[in-house]
Amino acid sequence: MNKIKFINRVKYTILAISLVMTNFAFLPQSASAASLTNSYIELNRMAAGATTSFRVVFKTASAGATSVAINFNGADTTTWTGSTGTVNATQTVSSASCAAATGTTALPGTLTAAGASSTVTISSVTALAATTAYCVDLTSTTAVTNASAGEYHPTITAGSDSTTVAVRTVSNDQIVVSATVPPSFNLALSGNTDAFTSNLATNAVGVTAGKTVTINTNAKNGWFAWAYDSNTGLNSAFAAHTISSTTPGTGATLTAGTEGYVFGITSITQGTGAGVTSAVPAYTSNGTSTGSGLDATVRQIASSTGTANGAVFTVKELAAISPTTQPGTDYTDTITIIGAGYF
Amino acid sequence: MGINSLLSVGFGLIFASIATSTNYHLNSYSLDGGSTNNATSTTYKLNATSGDTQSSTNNSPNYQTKSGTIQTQQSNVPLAPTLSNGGGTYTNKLNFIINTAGNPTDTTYSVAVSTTSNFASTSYVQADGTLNTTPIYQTYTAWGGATGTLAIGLAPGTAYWFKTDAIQGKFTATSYGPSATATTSSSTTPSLSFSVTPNSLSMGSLLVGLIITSSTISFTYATNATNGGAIYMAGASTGLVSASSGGYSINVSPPSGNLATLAEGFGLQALTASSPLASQSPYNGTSNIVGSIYTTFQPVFSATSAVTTGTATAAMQAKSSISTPSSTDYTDTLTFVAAASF
Repeated sequence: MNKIKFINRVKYTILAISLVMTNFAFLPQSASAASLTNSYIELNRMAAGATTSFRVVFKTASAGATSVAINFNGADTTTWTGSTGTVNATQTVSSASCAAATGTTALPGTLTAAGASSTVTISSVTALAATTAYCVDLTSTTAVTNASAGEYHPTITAGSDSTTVAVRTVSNDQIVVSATVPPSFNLALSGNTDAFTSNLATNAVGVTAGKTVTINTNAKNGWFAWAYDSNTGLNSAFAAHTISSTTPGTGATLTAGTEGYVFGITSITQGTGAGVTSAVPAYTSNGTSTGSGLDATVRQIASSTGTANGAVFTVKELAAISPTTQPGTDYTDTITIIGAGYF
Repeated sequence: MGINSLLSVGFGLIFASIATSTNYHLNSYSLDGGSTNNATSTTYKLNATSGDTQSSTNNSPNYQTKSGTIQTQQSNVPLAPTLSNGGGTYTNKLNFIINTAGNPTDTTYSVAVSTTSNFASTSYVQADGTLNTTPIYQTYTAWGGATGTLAIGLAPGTAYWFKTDAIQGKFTATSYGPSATATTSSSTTPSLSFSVTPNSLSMGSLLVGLIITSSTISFTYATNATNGGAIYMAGASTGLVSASSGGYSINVSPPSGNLATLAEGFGLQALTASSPLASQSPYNGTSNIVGSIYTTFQPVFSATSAVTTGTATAAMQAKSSISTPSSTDYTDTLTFVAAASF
């Protein structure tokens, strides 16, 4: 009987202990302020004395915060505002673009912000979740004025949680990079002889095979090309006769059987570059009968309005003879083509 | 069933779970025969055996003997976890590694944490490392395996005790094993230092088709932020711009370009970085591959842990083409800032 009583007493005791321990296991933990983690302030300028916007990133510990405060003085003895730094009373705030850049959650809410003394306070924050990383931008380029060069320790507070971070201002946070692109111009002929494709005859206008002129230049205003003639026509020393150029600078059409000599551009292309190329109208040729004469005067034949990489134009010479044109095998002319970039 | 029978059933359940506790210890006890199997309630199920089941326990700091059918079913009580405060660098976290005591790989563990050795107030590590009031059970692997897991959100300069229990299916739950203790480092003042030089850089004459590399840009960076930080860059423009050429810009389309194959371009290439700093894409190219200049800040170098005396270098590369307008006023202003995550 005594043994039974003892066992029962032990049973009751153990049951009571179990109930008590069970109750202890389910007592709620009391809430207390905790530390924000993974927190930083990214100033968009670090130069001392510069005004700047800035970004704030933090990770909550607790839930429920509806405001976020950034105190630039923090717990410093040598404070931000005591070192010529300021916090602008007028603030603009947005979390629209920081999430993608930081991999955190945009601070939710219809956010407003204001500065007072050393603190920027962001209000109207939708209650934050626990253990969640958030970001927000104070977007005004004058949100703060940086303190003198040194290290400062702002505090970030979200609800009852806070942390202290470090920011640095420096003497110079920029590099000014400079460079020069020197002027460049190049003109190249595809050859130096341009023969007529057949003997000149009274029943047709003769034309040469043509030569190309290629221009490359980084002149931002473009380029010009000019031409002039040594004989003002096709000259035969043997025949002592010149098939004269038509009126230089005036467009002309040659007629079979009537003497005449013209120069013309039969095609023109830009290649790449910013320019728009064109031939002078008088020297635009259809390749069969039109063009204009040249003489010893340097006359513009083509131009462009901008840079050129591989601009090309084709020049040809055309001539017609009459039944009385003296025969000769040495009819010749020398045409000089020059160009220049317009820098 | 009378009160004595109810107590017998309750005694059997309690017998299985509180042979030892923080404040009480049963040296020996027995279960009378005739207990009911599979009694259930909404939240508990009884596993009991008929016939006497004797249990006596012997304890040492790291081991506890078990006997009897019910005790035999249980998982091995985990040993004390291995704790680390990061060599004194952790002010608000501690790393713990589960000691499995040879339990099978599908065994799950919870981790109890307290600021007192007697666990007067207990929290439990959650899957994300934070502390809460509900035990979370995960496998050894899910708790980080041999590397362990960080318990975060701790107070600096505070001693913490950790202990673990194990369970592998029904009726196998162990008691919590012995605890281990570690102390978070006292809060230290956050620090960040940074510099960039030079503050002006001339690329000289960009002759057509030639790739010009600037002189070296040097950075210094240091922080005690346990999460590390980054050096960021933004340009006033996206390239070298000539105002006299109507705002013509020499640049590289984002995110990067190879000046060896492009007709023209301008960008930055990271050259060196001292560990744990590391260059970031798109600035980590080689040869003539450069990262574009953005007007929004982009990380050029970053670290994921504290940086004691970090250094890094970079350079600009530029190239002009025959179509690049000639001008002497090509320029861009690059702003570099640094931040650290505490």
